[in-house]
Amino acid sequence: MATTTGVIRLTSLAVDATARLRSAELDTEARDLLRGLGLTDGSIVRVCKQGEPCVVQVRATRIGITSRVAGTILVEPMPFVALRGLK
Amino acid sequence: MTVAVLAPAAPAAVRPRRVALLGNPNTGKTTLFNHLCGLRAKTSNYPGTTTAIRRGTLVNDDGERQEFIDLPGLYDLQTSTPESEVARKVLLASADGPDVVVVVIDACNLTRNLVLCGELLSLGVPVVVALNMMDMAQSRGLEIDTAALSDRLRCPVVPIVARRRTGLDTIRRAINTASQLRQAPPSDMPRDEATLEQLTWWAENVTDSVIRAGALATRDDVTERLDRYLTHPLVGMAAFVTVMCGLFWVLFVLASVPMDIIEALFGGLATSVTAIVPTGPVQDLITQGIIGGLSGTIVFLPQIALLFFLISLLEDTGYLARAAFVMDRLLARFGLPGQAFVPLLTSHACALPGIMSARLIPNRRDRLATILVAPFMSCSARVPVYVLLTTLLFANRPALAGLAFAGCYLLGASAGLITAWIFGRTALKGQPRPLILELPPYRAPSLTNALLAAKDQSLSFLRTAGTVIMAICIVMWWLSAYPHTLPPAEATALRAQAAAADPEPARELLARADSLQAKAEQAGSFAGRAGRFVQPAFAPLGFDWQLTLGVVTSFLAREVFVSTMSVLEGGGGDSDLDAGVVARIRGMTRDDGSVLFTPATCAAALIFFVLAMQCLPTLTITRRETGSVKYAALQLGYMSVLAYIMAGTTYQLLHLVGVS
Repeated sequence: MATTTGVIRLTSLAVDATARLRSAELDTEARDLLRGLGLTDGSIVRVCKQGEPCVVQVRATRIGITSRVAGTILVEPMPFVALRGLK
Repeated sequence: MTVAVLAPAAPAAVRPRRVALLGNPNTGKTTLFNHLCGLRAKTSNYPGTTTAIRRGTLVNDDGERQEFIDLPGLYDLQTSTPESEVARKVLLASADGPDVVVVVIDACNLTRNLVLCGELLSLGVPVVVALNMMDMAQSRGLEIDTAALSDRLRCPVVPIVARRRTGLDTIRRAINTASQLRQAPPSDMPRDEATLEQLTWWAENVTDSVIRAGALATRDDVTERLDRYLTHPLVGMAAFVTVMCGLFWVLFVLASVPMDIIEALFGGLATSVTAIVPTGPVQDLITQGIIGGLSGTIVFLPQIALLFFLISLLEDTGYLARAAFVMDRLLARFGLPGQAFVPLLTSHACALPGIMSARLIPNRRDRLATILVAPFMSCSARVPVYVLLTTLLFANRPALAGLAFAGCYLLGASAGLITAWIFGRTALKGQPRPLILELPPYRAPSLTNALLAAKDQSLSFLRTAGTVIMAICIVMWWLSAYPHTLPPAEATALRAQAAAADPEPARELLARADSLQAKAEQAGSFAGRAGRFVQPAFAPLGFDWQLTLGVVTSFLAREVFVSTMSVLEGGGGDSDLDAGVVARIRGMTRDDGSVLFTPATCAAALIFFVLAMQCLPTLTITRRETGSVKYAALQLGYMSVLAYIMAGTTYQLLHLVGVS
């Protein structure tokens, strides 16, 4: 589901797709936890699994997120790119 | 590396050098700490909090004492989580602050780990970086230039493999050197309360400049395939049920062997004391109060040790994070986190280890919700009570008795989940934290870590059991045993008859006399008097003074109900249920001669024992784990009132429809 031009919900991404994190409609505590895990604004994520849970990889970290939370994360799909942290 | 040598610190002889270990979760920080401090470590809550930190000491080759502090795993220092707050307090403490901080970094996840390292460097404390899991990095073809990394960070960087104890000597030397150095933060670091985004950008930049070959963010097909199965609604649930059945089997069946041994040892000890100490109050205090109380509590030690041993193994493998998502689908509907499944399942064996294992849950609100409802799960101490009451309720109808028995488990679990839902909207502040978890790589578990976790938790339990719980046990025993009552006239007469009778009939007469005296002593004790005093309050539940006394005495431990009933019926206080004991208890009558255990009374008593908070040791552990007596009071008040209302309603309804 597209929300604004080029920005979609994380749950709308296909498995293996990559996208840049734009924003998340979450309370401060949950947002801080995501940022601590590496999902900072502008970071690039790859979807490893959709459904319950949604699993994404950001750099070398794999993160499981309940689909309810994943649905609040807005991302901008990208053509396949190497994740940041690659040498 | 830019450093300056400090003048020798004058107070070095006064207090040991203090070293803090800091790092992200799953970086091998605890493994490193265990190898550095071994069995000397102690776990305790940071003052004023329920966040556990571990402390250990070692004496280095120069004879200098060093104190190590293992801080909780955390992702960054900025957030308002209890772990971050405790870490900030320890790191910034002016007088007792660490002389050196060892930051443990996962070499395979350099960028994210460097964010925390950057936050620490900006504080200006001497830092040593332990670059752990170098073996895994090498197996992935990753080459990290540690000298370049040391230059960029302006602090010593030591490559290690904590599991294999590789690099530990170098770490010790680096600690000794670093405390003598004043390190300036890297010049290119973002300053003045940098955001996580700025720190991440800096960490990426450092990572790019030190990796000579290989890639950090590789795709791991095996892990991804395993994750798909282990978090699948059906396959994942099947795997979860299998693992939890194994866990439950160990706690219920395997643990029974050492539990029986402990009981036998304490039994032998009591017999020895009886042989040495003259009969009287002192002997009673030692054998029944102290040894009995200790035995009744320490008997749970094997379950606690085994539980934490297995939890540590499961956590190390990375499976627990996946299992949390499987159970989150169900538990989130009631406002409980997915991780609550371990405490709730374990509470079916015993609420004490169940509540202690709630430490797995990172969010305090979610942890409180789990602790508050854990005692609703039907523990093993309820089993003899359920067996007795269901057998009395459905005499000669074993199928129905079995259904009622299973129904008790279902009722307890349902009450717990509904209570969690209610508390989540009333007593507990804030919203449940949605499940967001790092899914660490699957790894072989560390046996050393598991053994040390079991040791830590066992000692922690023993400290509580040996102090507060034992004191409670002694008080409850005293209330049940004193004041001594004179033998009833009937018992005295029987003894007189026995003195003149042949040996065989004399034994029977003496047994009857003992039984009558035990009943009289039970009824005349403070607990017995309390039972009679509060009986009117239990009348709406159909309880007479004997059943009320059973409720009062079982407040120490639920299974005491069976032995109390056995004594009141005139038996010998057996807690083992055989057909004879059940038959005798079924024949108990009220003071007016009517049958005591009618179907309505049995059903009410059964529901009361499913829902009531009849366990003082559990309340003690709740107070300790929540850090507040108010949650123990809430647990006691809520469960008691709910049990009373539900049991009373059941009795009155059954009475109304003529089932009595």
